[in-house]
Amino acid sequence: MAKGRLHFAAVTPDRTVLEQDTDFVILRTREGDMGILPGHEPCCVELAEGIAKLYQGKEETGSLAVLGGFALVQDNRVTVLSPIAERPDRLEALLADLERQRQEKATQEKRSALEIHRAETALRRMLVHSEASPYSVMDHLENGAFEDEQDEG
Amino acid sequence: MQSIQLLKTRIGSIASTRQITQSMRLVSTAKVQRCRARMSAAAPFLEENRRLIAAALQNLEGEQHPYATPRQEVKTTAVVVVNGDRGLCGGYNINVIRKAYQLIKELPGDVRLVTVGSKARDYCRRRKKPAIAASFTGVSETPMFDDGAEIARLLLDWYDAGEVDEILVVSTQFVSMLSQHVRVQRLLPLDLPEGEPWPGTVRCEPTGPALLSRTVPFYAASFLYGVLLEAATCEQSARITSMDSAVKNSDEMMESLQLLYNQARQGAITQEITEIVTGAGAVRREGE
Repeated sequence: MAKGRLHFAAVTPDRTVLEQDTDFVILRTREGDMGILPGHEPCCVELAEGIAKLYQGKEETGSLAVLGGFALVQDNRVTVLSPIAERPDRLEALLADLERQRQEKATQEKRSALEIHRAETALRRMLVHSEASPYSVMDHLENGAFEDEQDEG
Repeated sequence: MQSIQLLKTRIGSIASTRQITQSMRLVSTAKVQRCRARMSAAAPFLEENRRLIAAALQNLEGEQHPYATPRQEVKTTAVVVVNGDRGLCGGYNINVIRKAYQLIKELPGDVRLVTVGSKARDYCRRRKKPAIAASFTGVSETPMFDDGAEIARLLLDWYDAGEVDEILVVSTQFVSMLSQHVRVQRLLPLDLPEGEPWPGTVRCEPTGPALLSRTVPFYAASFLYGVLLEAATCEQSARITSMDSAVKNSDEMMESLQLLYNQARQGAITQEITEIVTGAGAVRREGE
């Protein structure tokens, strides 16, 4: 079997969280912890929530909190696919950030619906105005709006 | 005088429209860059997902599985139409819708329509047939993985319950900033990958059909997330293109109108001078 080093990569929907060469990886799978050394047979496992650990010799060089997903091992390439994976010290920040995005989106949706409604109402009113008086737009232009735009153009 | 004022009004309204389209173009330029950055950041994830599903399919080793084996009779097809929430992006929305209806016409069985984006929802609601089974809005601008997961869950529930026998997704493929294609992709049943991405045997946990049952929800969510992300990029670049031509058109219109306006103005002045001169001449003649 091919020896050498493992190439570890953790990918999430938003980005590649961690990518580095390493000697030994421990993953938390649904069946329990699984150690992967160079030359590991091709496999595909479902991950549980847990911390993945990377070792250089005997020294731990990196760890990653993985919230579910899958891992693929092929030709000394270890790939972790997870909806959420992050360095443990940054996990809280990531979760908070995701929650913030979610909330922002929810409020934005409400706001944009309201804005569209407002704009539509304003447009309808404007149409009534212009129908009722053909010169109302003119009045507005006489006040200098027209000249200003010309200068910019 | 009347025509000069009318021209002035028209030039004014075109100028303000131009301002709007110009700023929309700028906004879209910024957004499309963000979308493309997100797309390239998600690319490795989507690529690994295809490998994952290939491994799971290979691990079946010929066993039957509802996700992998096409059903004998396709009675109902779920059609997902991926659109935007906003207009003013040229033919982006309507192209997808047109393709979807063409597809629906060709399908033999019933159709369950799922719309993403308020444009598709509004349009399909007006068409009435087929009725919309589910609609999602507010996801098309900044799609998140959860959005894909939500849609995937609904579709898989239907598929698992046997309510639909096939799931098709109509969306836009990003080719370049200037060209986007509408394409139809089949989410389920899964198409077997070409070639053999995993030579030899693959050890899997869990094994066989169980693995496929576990991977497909994840795969479907990622697949839809990828589709949404691509569609968002397409929407923005379509908007840039159409706003760009709108700005160009209004420039042209303003130019020709300005010419007409100047001519009319000059004509009015000439006429006024002629009137004054004639008037003065008449007064002088009277005085003589």
